[in-house]
Amino acid sequence: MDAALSKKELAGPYKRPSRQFWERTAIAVSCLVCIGGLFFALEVNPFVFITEFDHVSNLVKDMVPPKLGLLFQSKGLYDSIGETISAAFLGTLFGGTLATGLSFFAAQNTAPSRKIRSLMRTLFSVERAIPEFATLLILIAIVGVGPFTSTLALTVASIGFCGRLCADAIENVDTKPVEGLEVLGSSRWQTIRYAILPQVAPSFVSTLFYIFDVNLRRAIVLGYFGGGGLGFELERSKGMLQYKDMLAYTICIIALVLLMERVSDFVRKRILNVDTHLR
Amino acid sequence: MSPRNEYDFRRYRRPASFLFFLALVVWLAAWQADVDLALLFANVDKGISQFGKHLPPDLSVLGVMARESLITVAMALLATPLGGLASLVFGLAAAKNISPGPLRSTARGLISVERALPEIVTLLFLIVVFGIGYFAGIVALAIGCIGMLGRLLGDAIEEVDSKVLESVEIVGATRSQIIRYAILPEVLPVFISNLIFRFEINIRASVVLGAVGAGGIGYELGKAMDLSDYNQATTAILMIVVLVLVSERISDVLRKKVTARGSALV
Repeated sequence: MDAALSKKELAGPYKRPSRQFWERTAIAVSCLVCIGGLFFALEVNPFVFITEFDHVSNLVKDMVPPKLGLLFQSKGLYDSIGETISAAFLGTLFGGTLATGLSFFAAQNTAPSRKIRSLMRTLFSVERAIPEFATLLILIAIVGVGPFTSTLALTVASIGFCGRLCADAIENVDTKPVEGLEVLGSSRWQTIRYAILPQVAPSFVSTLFYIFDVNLRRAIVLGYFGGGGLGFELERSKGMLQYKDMLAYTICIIALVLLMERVSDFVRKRILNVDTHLR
Repeated sequence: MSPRNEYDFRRYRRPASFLFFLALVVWLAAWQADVDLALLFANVDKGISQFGKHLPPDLSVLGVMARESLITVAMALLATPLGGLASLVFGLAAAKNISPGPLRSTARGLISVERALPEIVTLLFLIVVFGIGYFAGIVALAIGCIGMLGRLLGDAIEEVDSKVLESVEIVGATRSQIIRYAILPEVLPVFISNLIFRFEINIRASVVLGAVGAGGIGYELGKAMDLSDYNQATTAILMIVVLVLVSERISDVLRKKVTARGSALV
């Protein structure tokens, strides 16, 4: 017997490709066809990315170095950062407070009736499906442009999301304390106050901080549509073709979002700690 | 002072100082954001008449709106797999058990920067480069996937049992073989489920990007509001609500299926 096996022998006898192999090939090919078809239907040529790559390098030349001097020379930048944070904070506070209140009507175990519960749930999910900028554009027609309009739009936008998360938290409470109080003849309000609220308070707090993170990003987007703050500055600098300013604002946005994530994480942990101390 | 009173005082000191601090911050923020409740209440009747102008929805443009919604869906459909592919690369580079230190920290840094960057900002830069149109929107959405999916995938890969990796490594598997036979089978079901969830997010994002200039139903809504065609705007909003709710439902069903089939996919 030969000591060295040939490559063919090592690979073993020829096997027909399995059914799984053909299945996968079919899936891959149909995916590619779908993607190509969609590009064709949209009349988009994806290779523009390669053929027009010199535009990218031109833009990079135009916007580097970013005009970070804005940080030192203009008070306007700090004003717009403040506007963005304030709109997000107030929107979260107002909308979140409203939503936590409403969520008791949307949770099965606290809602006055089944009809009210499904009505609230529907309202929440429809509200969540309406994009924030649509709310903002409607409000702009009423109270004009500026960070106040952004605050109002974020207040509305927080309700659906926050309400749903809070209602879910209420539905997931441990039922034993609730039953314990009910057996003693507590009213609905007493049950909520002494059996449900202590259980859901920490998750309400966490939800509010999560909504704040979301709202900060939304506030930047709303700024673009006329809500003031950093988004508005970005839109203006793009309109004036000031690409160095644009990059500087973009860096500010990234830094702001990353920083506020840290800050809200820190504050949330503090609050939740204090909360457990009190109980 | 009796001990009882002292206890009561201490008990309320913390919540009281917290509320005082909160009130201060709210006042500061309200001043900064030009909050003007008087303006709001003065405009209540204007608001009511404004809502009146939005009704009834203009159903004659329903066909156009439906077509534009399909474009929005198509943009999300194209962006999600492209973004998924990009985040596969970033996710692999961001996992410490298969990628070398410097590469990992670079990938992690890029991922967190991307996560902090709203899609709309990416789109503005892309519009400068490629002009207004679907293509800029698709690329912006695809880039937007990297922050979320790349991070989730990187974390999932880092959680793969080291025994699985070692057992493949010990029989002499190359890095690509490790990825193919040890890592992908473990993380792919979760990744696909995340990808479907991202599709749902991309539909929403695609509407917003549309209003900035990427086209689709969002663009129609922005245009209708600009032209004060409030009845048309209502049609667009209703269309968006239906679109988002349907995509939510579909993504829920699909994700349940993927989770149920689990590793049978690989």
